[in-house]
Amino acid sequence: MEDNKIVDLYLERSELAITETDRKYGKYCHYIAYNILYSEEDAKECVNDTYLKTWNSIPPHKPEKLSTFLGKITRNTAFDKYDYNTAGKRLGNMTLALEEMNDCIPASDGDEFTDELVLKDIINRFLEGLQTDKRIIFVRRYWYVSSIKEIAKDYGMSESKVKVNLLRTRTKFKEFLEKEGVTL
Amino acid sequence: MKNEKLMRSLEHIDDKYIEEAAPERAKTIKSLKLGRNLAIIAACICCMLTVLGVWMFMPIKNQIPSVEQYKNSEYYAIIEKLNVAFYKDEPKYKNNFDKYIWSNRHNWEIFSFFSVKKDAAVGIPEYSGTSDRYEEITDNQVDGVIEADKIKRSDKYIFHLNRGSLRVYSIEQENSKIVGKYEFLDAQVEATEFYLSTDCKTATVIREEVSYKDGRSVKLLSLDVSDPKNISVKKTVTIKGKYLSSRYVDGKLLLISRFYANGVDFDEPYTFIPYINEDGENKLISPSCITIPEEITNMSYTFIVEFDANTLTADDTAAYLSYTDNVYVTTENMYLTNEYKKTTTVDNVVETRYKSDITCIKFNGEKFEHLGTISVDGHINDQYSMDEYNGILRIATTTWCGKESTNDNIRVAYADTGRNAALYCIDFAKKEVVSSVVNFAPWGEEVKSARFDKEKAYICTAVEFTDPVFFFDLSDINNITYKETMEISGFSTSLVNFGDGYLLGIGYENSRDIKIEIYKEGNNKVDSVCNYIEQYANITGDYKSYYINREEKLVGLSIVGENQYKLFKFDGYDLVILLSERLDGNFLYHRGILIDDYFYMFGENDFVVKKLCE
Repeated sequence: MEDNKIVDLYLERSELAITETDRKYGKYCHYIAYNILYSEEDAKECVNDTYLKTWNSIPPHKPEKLSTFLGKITRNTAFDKYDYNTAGKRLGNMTLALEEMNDCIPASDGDEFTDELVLKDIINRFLEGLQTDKRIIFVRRYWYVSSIKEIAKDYGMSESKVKVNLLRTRTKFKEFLEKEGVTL
Repeated sequence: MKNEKLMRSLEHIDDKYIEEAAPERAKTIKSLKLGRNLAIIAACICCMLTVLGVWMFMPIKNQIPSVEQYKNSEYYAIIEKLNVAFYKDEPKYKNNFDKYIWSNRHNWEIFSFFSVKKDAAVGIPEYSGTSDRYEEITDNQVDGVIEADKIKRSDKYIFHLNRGSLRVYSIEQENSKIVGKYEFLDAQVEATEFYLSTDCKTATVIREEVSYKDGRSVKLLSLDVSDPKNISVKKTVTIKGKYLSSRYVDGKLLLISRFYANGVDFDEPYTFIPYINEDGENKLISPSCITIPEEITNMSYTFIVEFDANTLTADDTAAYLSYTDNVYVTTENMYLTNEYKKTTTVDNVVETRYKSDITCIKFNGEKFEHLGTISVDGHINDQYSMDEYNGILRIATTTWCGKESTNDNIRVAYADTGRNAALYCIDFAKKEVVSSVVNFAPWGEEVKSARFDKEKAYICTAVEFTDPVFFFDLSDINNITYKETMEISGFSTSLVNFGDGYLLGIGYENSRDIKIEIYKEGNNKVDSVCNYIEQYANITGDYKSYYINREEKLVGLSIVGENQYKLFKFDGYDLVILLSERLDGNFLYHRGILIDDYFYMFGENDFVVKKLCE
């Protein structure tokens, strides 16, 4: 079923909306959730929470791209659950991705934290300036939290090449954030 | 923690980047990447192939190279002329592909699949006796000029040539049997025909060999047949080229072949000068024996060799850089024909005609002597379309003329165009056409057969399957008259003077049926006396395969259909079948001869002897 028709079901408050969402994007949401949570149970729970949050947000939202809308909700939900579940533990892709993200923390030493909206703009401008393949790998790694191995397999590259790619992108990201004066 | 905060902040990235990196899109990107890589590789390969192709097939510039380096060669005069002719219209090689690959294909093992094995004589049961008297059985066109055939005889033996062997049969009526046999183990080499020497001790077999490596060759095999059960090879001579014809005249064997100057390399005379191989040794002919016309139209020589018939020693040679279509030989002269098209433009009319050049070579002197070349309109069917009588060469031709206007906007119908027939009388001593009859047939018809008999000529023309037969009176060549049979169904591919005013025609009734017909010349017309038609049948066009006996009014030939060899007798009213026997093998090898009331018939491997009833 097309996204606009699924959204219409939400707007009509039809429970078919959830069914159709699960049919089309269930695996997608589960993928995101599992990469972050590294637990089947937690991932399923996260996906269910995603559907509930989606039901509650449509309306008033009327997303044009249902996949990214769901993806973001899932990611955030998974992140929340990650904090709650893994305090003290570090598991799976998420752990490694977080460690890598340390390379991107700018050395800015400002008093005020950068506004989220400003940060959003900065991040998007950074991504826009990247070559497509580098950008895809970066987003796969740090948004989808996919493993190095999976990224390498999906794009026909060696793992070492993916790692080098990510390292260089993280370095650039850090430089970019510093240049923009981002304070986290 | 800052790293987590930064990770979370990535939630704000644009939907398009999230969608772009979606896992399910990875396969598409991967295949696109693979496709891109393949496309790059394919593009590289295409570029390489294009460059290679351009280099391979780019035409080589047509610049006539210098041949100064050959000026010390005895063939220099020939090389100069050939060089100009060769490069005038096209370069030696069209392109690099032709130069490096195609021209060397004969060196590739995969193309050479002919192998010549050693011949062997096969022992046969004992038979005592000697043969010493030659009996002519081939219906030679010219008295005194013997033509090769697949069957010859002496007073004691019959010699029959088939694809793989020469067999010798005793002449003992119904008790006849094979008394000798020589097998050619290299069956791929076709045994074409042979001669029996007048002392009946030597059989000279002419065979054609074709191989991708060496091209065509004519092999002469001189066999000692004085003792039929111990036939042995006396000598082998090989001539590079295609066999055209041969004659046996006064102890001389004249061999006419076509030598192709292919793959000319002036460093290798054997590529452009005809040569003879005698017992394994190649001998180029002398440059003085070669005649090259001013205008060279092709790179084929007509190569003539005069052998001593007994020793197969080449006594004289001549080569003419000109293509030969037909050969006619008398006791003194040899006539070679060469057909071509000629186009002229006169008064805005483009006219194209078939033409034939007839070259006369005198051979009964010390050396071959070129007497000249005369050109006539038309195409010459075969050797029987030519006849020399009282110093005049008579020729029947199929003429063709096409005309069109040079103005593309005008379509004009011209009279006197298309096919027709002509008869020419040529005096080579004067080097001119002394008389002619042109366009005597209905328009559209062509000469199917012709036969000359002293002061008479018989010409059958046809378009598809109806023919008039024209009887010409050539007693006064300045006032040639003729009469015709009017329309008769079918046409004759062979016309034979059958004696007593009768003409025998062998040919076809239509596309399905064969016909044998007897004609008689009347006062002002020609009548069909009788005919025999056999349905769903076919015959060979090889005249020598027919048995013709004018005295007894017999005609024998092999008919494919019922696969029978049939012997007919013309009793003055009708054609009566005397014999009908099934023979094995290819009908091209079938022969029949009458000896003392017994008719001997030979298939490719079997033979039958029948007594003719009274």
